[in-house]
Amino acid sequence: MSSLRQQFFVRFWPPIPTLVALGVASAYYFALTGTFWAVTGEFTRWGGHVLAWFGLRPQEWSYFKLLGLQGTPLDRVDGVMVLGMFLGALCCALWAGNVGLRRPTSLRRLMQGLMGGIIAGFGARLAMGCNLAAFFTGIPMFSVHAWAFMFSTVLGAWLGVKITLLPFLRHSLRVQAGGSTLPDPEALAQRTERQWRLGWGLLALSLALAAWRFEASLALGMAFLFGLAFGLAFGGLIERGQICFTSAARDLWTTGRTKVAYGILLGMAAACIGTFAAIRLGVAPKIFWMGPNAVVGGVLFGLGIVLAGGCETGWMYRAMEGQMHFWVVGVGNVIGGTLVAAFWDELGGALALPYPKLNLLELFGPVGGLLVTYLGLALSLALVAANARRFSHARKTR
Amino acid sequence: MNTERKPDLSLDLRGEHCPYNAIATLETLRTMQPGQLLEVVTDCSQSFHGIPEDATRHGYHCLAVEQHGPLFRFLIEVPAPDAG
Repeated sequence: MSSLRQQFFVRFWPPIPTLVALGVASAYYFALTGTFWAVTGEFTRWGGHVLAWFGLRPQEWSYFKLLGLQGTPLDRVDGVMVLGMFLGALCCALWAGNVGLRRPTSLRRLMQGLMGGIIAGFGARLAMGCNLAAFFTGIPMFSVHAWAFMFSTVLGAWLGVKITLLPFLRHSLRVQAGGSTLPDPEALAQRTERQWRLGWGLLALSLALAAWRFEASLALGMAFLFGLAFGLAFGGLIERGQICFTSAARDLWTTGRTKVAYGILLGMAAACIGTFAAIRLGVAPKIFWMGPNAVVGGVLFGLGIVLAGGCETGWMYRAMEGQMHFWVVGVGNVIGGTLVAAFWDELGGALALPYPKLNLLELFGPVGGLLVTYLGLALSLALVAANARRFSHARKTR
Repeated sequence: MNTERKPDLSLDLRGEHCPYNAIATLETLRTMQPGQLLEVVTDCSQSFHGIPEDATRHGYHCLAVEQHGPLFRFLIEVPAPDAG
């Protein structure tokens, strides 16, 4: 039991198999709910709720008519799913004894997080989705705009790296001779045990919450239950797998890290066949405008996530671990998304709405579209591998 | 476990997030002599996979990756000249 616990609940899972599992799970999610796994739309609705408290009428804005702003988060599939993701991530972090308040290093870093969060939230909503809807679950929708968004994100990440490594954003290194003092093992063991039990308690509470929604109405209950189950699964996969989309885009430029990028591409490859099957059976794919909004949004998103240190899914599980920096990033995301909603008539009218919604399965036919998608993914894999070679020089020892 | 060598230098990255953890680790390693051992302590879970991958890719030996609750500890060795 204790080795099982160590293996599945404490150690972090390897990123590549975890991302493939996420890809498969996201295809099932699409087939079951008819919508894709996405979070930023819901974050933007939260911003809408906050504005409504202050007497504004966001439900009359065109962007919220597009997104839907009915009820509370508990009445919406997306809302319930996001709640499930938070709970799932928290459960998993507790099981691993990995919850602890992590204080930010400086106010400047915190402001950097807020700014990054706002820019990323703005870019994501401009392109109608973040790393999920416009990327990880957007490419398996065969929507052309997701490809534009993915490549623009990588480009934006390059800009982000340039800014992030500017001297005024660097801290001096805290280096000392010899080893550092680590926490007392006995106190740590007690703390870990406490968190382990707390994690199971929280899971029980989450299930009770599901049952409570189930009583409200059958449809809502089903949606909640599915949402929570998927949310827990996704939350768990994300927290244990430490899936970092920011790292995938950023570290192409910093250290040449490849694992997560490979995992994301392979995860999408796994998702594509599932979503393809669902679409063939009649589920309508989510296709968005292939306009400048996808490119501008992608660049801003890439820049923002690198500046903030995490993307829309990234801040969620980091926030649950107690990394205070990412609470601020989350607030920034909501602000950024809400800004898009506030200026959508101008932004969308110029950058998105006049452009066509391009679907690869219609452009090239079903088989051709699938083939083009897989070719694109294979090409991307090759590009990541080629890029990594720039960094993997053996250390010069002579 | 307890017979491990004492590190020559320790880098404290608590409170920092990506990419500063990986960058600072590589920067510190670059200043060190062959055969020396660096200890890195972070509280950012994301470094759990990242720091070992980066250190290895840049030709260093990552000897240990440990979790102490919300803290993560890495031991990275600068390879001796004849090893590479």
